[in-house]
Amino acid sequence: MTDSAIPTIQGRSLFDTAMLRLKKNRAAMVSLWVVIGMTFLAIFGPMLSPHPYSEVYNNFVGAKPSMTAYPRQDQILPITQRALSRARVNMDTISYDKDVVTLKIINRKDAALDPRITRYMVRTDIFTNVALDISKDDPRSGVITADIKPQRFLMGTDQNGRDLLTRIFMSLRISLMVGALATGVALLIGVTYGAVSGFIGASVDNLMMRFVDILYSLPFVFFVILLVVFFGNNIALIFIAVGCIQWLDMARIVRGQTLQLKQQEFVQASRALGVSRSNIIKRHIIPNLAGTVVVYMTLLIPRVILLESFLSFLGLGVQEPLTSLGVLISEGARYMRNDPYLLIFPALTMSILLFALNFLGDGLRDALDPKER
Amino acid sequence: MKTQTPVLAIDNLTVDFDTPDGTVHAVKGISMDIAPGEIVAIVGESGSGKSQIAMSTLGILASNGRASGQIRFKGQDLLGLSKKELNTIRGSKISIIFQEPMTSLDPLYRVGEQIMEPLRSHGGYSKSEAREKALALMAQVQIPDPERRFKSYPSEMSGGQRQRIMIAMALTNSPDLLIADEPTTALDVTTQAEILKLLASLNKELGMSIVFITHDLGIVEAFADRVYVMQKGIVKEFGDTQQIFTSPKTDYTKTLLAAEPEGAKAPVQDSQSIVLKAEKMNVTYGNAGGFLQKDTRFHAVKDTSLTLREGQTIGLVGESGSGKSTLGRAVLRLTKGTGNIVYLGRNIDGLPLAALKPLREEMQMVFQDPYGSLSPRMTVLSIVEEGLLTHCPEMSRSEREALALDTLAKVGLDQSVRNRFPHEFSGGQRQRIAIARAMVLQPKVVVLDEPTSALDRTVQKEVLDLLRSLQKEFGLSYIFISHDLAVIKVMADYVMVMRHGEIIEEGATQNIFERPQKDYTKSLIASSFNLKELLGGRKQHLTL
Amino acid sequence: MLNYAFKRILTIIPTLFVIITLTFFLMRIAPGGPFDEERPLAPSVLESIRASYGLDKPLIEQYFTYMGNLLKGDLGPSFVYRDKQVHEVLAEGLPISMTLGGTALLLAVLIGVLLGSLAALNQNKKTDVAIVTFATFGITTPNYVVAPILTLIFALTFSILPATGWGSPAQMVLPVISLALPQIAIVTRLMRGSMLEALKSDHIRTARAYGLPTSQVVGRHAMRSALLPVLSYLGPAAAGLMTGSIVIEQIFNLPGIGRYFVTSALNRDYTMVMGTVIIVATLVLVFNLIVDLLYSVLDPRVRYD
Repeated sequence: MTDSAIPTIQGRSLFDTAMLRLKKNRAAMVSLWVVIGMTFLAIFGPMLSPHPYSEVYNNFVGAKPSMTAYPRQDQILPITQRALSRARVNMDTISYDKDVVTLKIINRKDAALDPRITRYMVRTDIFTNVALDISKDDPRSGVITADIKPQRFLMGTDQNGRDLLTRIFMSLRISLMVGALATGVALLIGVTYGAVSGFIGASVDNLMMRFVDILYSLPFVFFVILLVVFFGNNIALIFIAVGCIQWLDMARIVRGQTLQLKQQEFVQASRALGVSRSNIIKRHIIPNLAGTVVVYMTLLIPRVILLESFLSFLGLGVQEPLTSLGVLISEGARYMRNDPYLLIFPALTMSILLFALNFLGDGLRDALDPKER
Repeated sequence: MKTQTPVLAIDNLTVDFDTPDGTVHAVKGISMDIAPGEIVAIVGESGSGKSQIAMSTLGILASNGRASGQIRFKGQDLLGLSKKELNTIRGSKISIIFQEPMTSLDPLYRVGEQIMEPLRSHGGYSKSEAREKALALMAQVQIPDPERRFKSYPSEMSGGQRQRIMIAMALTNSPDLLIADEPTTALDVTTQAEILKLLASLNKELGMSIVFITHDLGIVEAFADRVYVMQKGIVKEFGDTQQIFTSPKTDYTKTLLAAEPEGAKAPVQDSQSIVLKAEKMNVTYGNAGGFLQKDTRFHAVKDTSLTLREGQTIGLVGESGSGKSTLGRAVLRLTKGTGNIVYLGRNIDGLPLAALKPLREEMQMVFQDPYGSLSPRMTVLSIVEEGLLTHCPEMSRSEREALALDTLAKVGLDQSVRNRFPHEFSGGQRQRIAIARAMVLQPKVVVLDEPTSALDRTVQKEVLDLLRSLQKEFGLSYIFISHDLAVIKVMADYVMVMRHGEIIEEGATQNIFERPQKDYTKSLIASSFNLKELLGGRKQHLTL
Repeated sequence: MLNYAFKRILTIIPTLFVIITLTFFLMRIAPGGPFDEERPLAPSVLESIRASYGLDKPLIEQYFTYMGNLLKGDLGPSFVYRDKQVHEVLAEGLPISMTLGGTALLLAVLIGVLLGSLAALNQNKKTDVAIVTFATFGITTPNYVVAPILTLIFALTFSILPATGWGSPAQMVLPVISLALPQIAIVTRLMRGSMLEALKSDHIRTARAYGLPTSQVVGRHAMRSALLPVLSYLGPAAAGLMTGSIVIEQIFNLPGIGRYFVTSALNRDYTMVMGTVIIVATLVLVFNLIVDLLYSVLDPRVRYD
């Protein structure tokens, strides 16, 4: 008797049904892809980007967002002049040939040109393949040829001259990581606490839930601040701690569900079969909680991300040069009047991410709602 | 009778629902008419579309539903009316009562206020007039002490009283037509008989027509003048009640009529060995209360005893809240209780739960709700195997599978169902799976808690036959818990009648049903089997 | 009803006690102290300051002293705002925070309930989509983004409203809107969900089947059951709003009590921290009590528990 001998019947599990209904929900499906896309960017974005997230381009501070590459034609001359004056040489002539610049230079001092002055050119971030050809006749003068290095800042650069797009990728990575970490911790504590409380029931349940009630009336913000005080600015630890606070709702929801499940006849049937408590929790309670937990998780992640950005706004979150959406937004708000893009791009990213997570959560909840069946 | 202008004439009605899985055709072009003063029953099993006719008539289909065709009330097509126009008819000229009197009333308002609402919005009554009229109506539907009950909330009333309140609400503007959608299905049999009596007398006094939607042929026979038999959205057959019951034309009607439970079980000899004996069982729920806490104690089972012999079926019968299910669970020690329980000569009441585990293999239980008793996220095979995993861990995987599939075959399910999930099955099939789960361990005692109450009669019959044949094959002893006397009568050889946690009467089935001693037992039996006499043989009084 | 209220009030006291105790010790375990300043004080000076505030005594003794004073209604002197008592500092800020929060709450309830019901009644139609989008926007856009943008538009660009400060009604507009927006969004979503649920229930079917006018079906029957979940949310939300928003107070430069959360915790202003925690916890508990009582008025079923 092998499996292949049995005619396969198109059976649809609850999960399949839910997926089918989720697929019909366009907003949720778009959101799902947005979340997947953003996660991809968060993971690979900083690696794929030509600019390291903490790289400071002194010559491009506050560059406006643009599709065309920097440097602009009119930027080359001043930048070159600045570089040459640092190298203490004078420029004689400059000529452009497409992406190649040819400079005739002469040393200010009455000495031979030092071949190492090319590094002043390299440091400008706009030239590569800088070559110095010292004139054989007059070692004071020479010709520098350099390729112009095109740099694209699609979303511009911030007030420190760092590429905003890369910083957004990085902040996505941090925000998502923080969201996942805190949610994971909240999930672990909340599900365990709620399931145990609900399953044991009676006076234990009463006591456990009374404790949750007390924690609920604690001023939450104050505790986060206290945690920051304890843990310093270690972002991972802070958010494990945030998870330790955010589990309350999860515990309540899971407890309610467990109480309900416990009354279900299939759980009683298992008890009648003599199945042990741990197996009942494993086989019947947990799998049936999964839906609720997933939905709640998708809704908790955006809340944690918001919380992180709130802390960052207060200066209690991620520290430089690391960044997060909250940090970018609070910086952007400061320069909003002159460089609105510094606020708009990070705020938009956060809005899209949170929108997607919320719609996905709602969609999942609808798809898993047994009443809709 | 056809010569009168009908109160309601339905012509080629179709009802469709848009679902994620495509359009569902619930009603497929049916026609029917109801004469003034007539009681017409629409009878059919679940999913026959009978309720959707009522919903379409009153414009309260679910939002994804569409009705087309014609529903004419005194010549006026209801389907073509605007909401405002429809509101002048529903609640005043046509009214409805539903199956669930608990949820059909707003739990947040006093029942009196709810009766007053249609009076105020249709009858143009002033507040005090409406109150007077509401009190009068409550008296008319035989609510004791209407003045006091006026201020009650629905949650403070019993099911029967709530349904009376619904009826009072329905009568507010002396409607020409009352649609009753399974109005007694959620009620106990004795309450059901009273409600039917009330409806019959109202029909006689006020001359209003009644459309009675039900699955219960017993009620139809006793109560209706004419019958429409529905199946899968079409009318299979219609005609006078007597004619349908005496000479049905279609096979479907014949099957329905033949689906009433039948047979009898011979009593077991006193010489048969005793399998399970429980004495002085007591079960109490709730807390004793204390400082600022209410005493919520409820004595569900009081000093009851039972003795189950090999091959015997004890029928435990009673209305809701009588404690019959609690007793069934308590003797298996699934509910905490006190009392002396002896299983095969072994005292098990003091055993710790761990020591009880090996005995679970021999004492099984089957539950009522075929939807709730199977874990929705497990396949059929894993559901049936669960007991084997627990009790015979030494079995190899293939042995276990073979045994599970064998058991599935015994309950009449094909092996191909193994990887499917419970929600893909009908109620009857699910109950078969639940039975397979209990039988795979080859138990000696099975407590059947309303095993067929959620099933249609035709399906019920098959499941009862299955239970019978399994009992014969394995020499099982059953404790059969049910509120349905018709089922108990054919399944049990010994009957115990429970009320308020006590056994008020017990004895051999034949004795109990033929010579009941207690008034309560008598009224139970009369409400279940002699509805016709209870309603005073009102049939055909309109055939002038 | 009275019995129920009495019972609930009795449970507040032990809860408050646990919270105060917990905070007291947590705060003291945290590293640092109130007098760690940029340039460290001479050890002898520090000792004498600590002694004057009683910080040199064993922790447990300090705890009992504090609790004793608290019973007399004395929150103690602030460690950072020298020469001021904690209750004075809080009394200055609390009315401002409560006015701000109360107005925002009122707006949130009125607009949220209205929008939520409107969306539910037009489920999946354009109105619904628009309202849901607005609500999701409100939830996903933090108020420190909304507030600067509103300031930019109304204060800096068009100069219709003042950007900062407190006192005149015009100065309240922007902070109240920024504070209320996320709350409106949350109430709208909650209300939409519970209204949809209510509209599906059997007793609404009954009301419709009895031809009651839509205004009555929705306004009387559906509304009342739909309000229950919103009410449950409002307890903690009200307390949160009334105790001041750090962000809003910072952006609009308002003298509320929200800022003390951050500053006093960072400064280890022990008595100030205790004061704010006690105020917040009391408000949370009191609002929860009010909500529970209102709940039992709306829903007769809970009265008999």
